[in-house]
Amino acid sequence: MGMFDAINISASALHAQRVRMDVIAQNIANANTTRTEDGTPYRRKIVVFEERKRSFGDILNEKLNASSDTYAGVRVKAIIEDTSPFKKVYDPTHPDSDQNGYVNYPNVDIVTEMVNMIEASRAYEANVTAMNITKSMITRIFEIGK
Amino acid sequence: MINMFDKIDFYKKALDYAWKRNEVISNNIANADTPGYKAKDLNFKAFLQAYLNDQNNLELITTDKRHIKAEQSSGTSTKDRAIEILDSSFQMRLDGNTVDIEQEMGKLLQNSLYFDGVSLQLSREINKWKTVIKEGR
Repeated sequence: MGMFDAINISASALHAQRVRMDVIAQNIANANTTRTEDGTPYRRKIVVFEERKRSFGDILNEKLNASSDTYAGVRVKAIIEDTSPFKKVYDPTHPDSDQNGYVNYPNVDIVTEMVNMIEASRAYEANVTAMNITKSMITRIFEIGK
Repeated sequence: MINMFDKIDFYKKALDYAWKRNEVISNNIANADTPGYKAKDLNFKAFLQAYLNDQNNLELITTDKRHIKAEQSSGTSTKDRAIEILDSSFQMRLDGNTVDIEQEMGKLLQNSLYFDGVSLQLSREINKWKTVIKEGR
């Protein structure tokens, strides 16, 4: 078990949560984008996490040290698009309206995004706390025998 | 004769356990939003048992490949088996994740206090021996 493994685990989670925040910010920023590069309205993006598998280095280490219990935290597996239907709003004056006068707005729900944002920020805090606790444990080690 | 390092070794094991457990709990917290992740914990009894097993791991020396080897756990560390998946399927979320963040934070705090306590004991033990070595001066 490496000295900074636990910190790396928490750091991976901080990174993952920050990516999630980025995507949420992107969703909110594009809540009213009716025309993207493909010509379609903006589609809401969702971050999917997965448990991070060990790298080659970790596995080599494990063989050298005969211990096979390393954890590597979490990572962003994919950023997928929400396939739920677009919101249809009647607005004939809008340049992107169809022949019936309806505009396809992105499938972003601001309230959902805000809730997800709070969740991401709380998860971030939890991981910062975990990291601080690891830090206090490491400083405690240096005090052994004092 | 008593071994002066017996107690220190024992504290070392306890610290090792707390250290590893911190890692396992941190991993749970990191994966609090990972679909399908199952919360894990470290079993103290199994961990210590694994340590004892590793210690008594006496291997039979064979001089010929036809000699019968003693039953051995193949390569993998027995410490692995101390990590257990918590049976908390009753509070599983829709995405199959079983991490209860409050519980994990509580465990994390408990574990760090336990770690502090053991390391304090270890310091005292070392200081005791220091006193003995310096003849009480």
